[in-house]
Amino acid sequence: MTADIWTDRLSEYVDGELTASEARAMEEHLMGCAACREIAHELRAVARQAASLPEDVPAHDLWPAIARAIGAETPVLALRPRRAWLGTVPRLAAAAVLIAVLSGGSVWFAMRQSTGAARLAVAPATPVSPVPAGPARLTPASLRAERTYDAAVVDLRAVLDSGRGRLDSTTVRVLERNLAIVDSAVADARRAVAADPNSVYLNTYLARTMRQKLDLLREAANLARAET
Amino acid sequence: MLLASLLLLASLASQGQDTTFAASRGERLQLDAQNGSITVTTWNRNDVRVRADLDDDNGSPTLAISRSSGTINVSLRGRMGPSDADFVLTVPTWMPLALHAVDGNITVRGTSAAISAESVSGNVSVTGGTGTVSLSSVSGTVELSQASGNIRVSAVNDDITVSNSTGSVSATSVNGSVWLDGVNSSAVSLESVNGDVRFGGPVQNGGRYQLNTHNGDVSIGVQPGAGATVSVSTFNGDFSSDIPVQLSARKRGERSFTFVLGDGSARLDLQSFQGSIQITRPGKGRGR
Repeated sequence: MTADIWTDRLSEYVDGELTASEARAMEEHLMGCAACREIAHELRAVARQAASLPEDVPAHDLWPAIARAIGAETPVLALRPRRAWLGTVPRLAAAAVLIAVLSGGSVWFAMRQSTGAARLAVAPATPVSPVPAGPARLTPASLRAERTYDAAVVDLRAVLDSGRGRLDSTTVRVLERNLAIVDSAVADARRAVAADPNSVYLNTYLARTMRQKLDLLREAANLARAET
Repeated sequence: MLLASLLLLASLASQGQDTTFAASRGERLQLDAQNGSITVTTWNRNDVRVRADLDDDNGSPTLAISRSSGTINVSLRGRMGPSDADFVLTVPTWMPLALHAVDGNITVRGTSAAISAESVSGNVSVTGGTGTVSLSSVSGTVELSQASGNIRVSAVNDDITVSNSTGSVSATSVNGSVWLDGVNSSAVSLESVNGDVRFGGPVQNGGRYQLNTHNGDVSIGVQPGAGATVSVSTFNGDFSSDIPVQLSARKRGERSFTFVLGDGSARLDLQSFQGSIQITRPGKGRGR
């Protein structure tokens, strides 16, 4: 029995979706495991932040279109702290990308703070039902996160491309080279997650590299618009 | 309500202009150099000296200095729009600065105020700074020393160095290394994609230190007696420590592990996807 089994089920515990006996076992474990207590605390904090997101979230002028696109199939209101978006702990990372894109990064920072705790591995005292082994399913939240990420990349890339002529050619080459570097990191992380889908570290890391891609694209897009 | 007043319009000779004017405490200075360098030094006078050395002859360019809502805005304009020049300024030590260059280096020495300095294609080098210190470059290096406060530093294609500073530090680069040396901080977040990341400074009780890179090495100096809970994560890298550490059995395939030094009060989160992670004694870090 590994600590990952406990951490994998913490979000279900926070959501109140464990059976009574599983919840009791989890609570017993939490009494003796400071790391998992902290994760549970931070999961609740993330859930509260998600719940507090305004319905018309986007503040950045790029995001209204993204929000509309998402709203067509998934209203932002769906980002309530329910199991549907929380998912298991490894998949929280992917869901966090969706939240980060919609909220401009504030919740993402909270997630980054929490992920450090998620890696604190402490031997569990009492087992609960293990998460089934094998390839991880993409939860609806993860799928939405992927779609949102893809849409954000497309939008930002369009802004960059439209303003490319206003940038110095050397700067364009530098930006493209660095975007390729981040793309390579994202690809590495995707392959790693495919090989080990239940790793909290790798899922979180994939989300981090995706966020780095968005950060760089945002910076490049801002430059393309600013250098007139 | 914005109050704007044009203080000075000086026709410039083709070789440049040198002017000095009074400044009041609380005012900040903003300068956009476009294609030209910015060099700032400080003095103990409540005056600002601006020298613009012209790079071209854009039709009798004019040095415009205006005040609006506590901001002194310095710009250089010719008939064809913004003109290129290298700016050399001397400002009061207390004066906050907002500096921007598209293609030029930014160098600041001796300020004790907040500073924002951004260059697209040049290096940014700052000594001093208090409060919010925000530096960035796309193509160049970023160097900061003797600063204190909330320090945010970013680069895209080159290295970052922060030394002999205090306060919270966030530093990110894509294709460069991130190095902190002699930094006294309880909140550090360092990140690179394709470069090394190093923190050299005392690990403070209760501090939080996050070092992350994809394709580089991570190293952190931990002084004797420091208490920290250390989390190490890697996909395809390795870990070593100059300090004896006691690891619980690491299971095959496990990519993260944790151990405690002393009272464990600080949090060290060390990640390298495919590089080495090293804990060193202070002063024994790898050279650049």
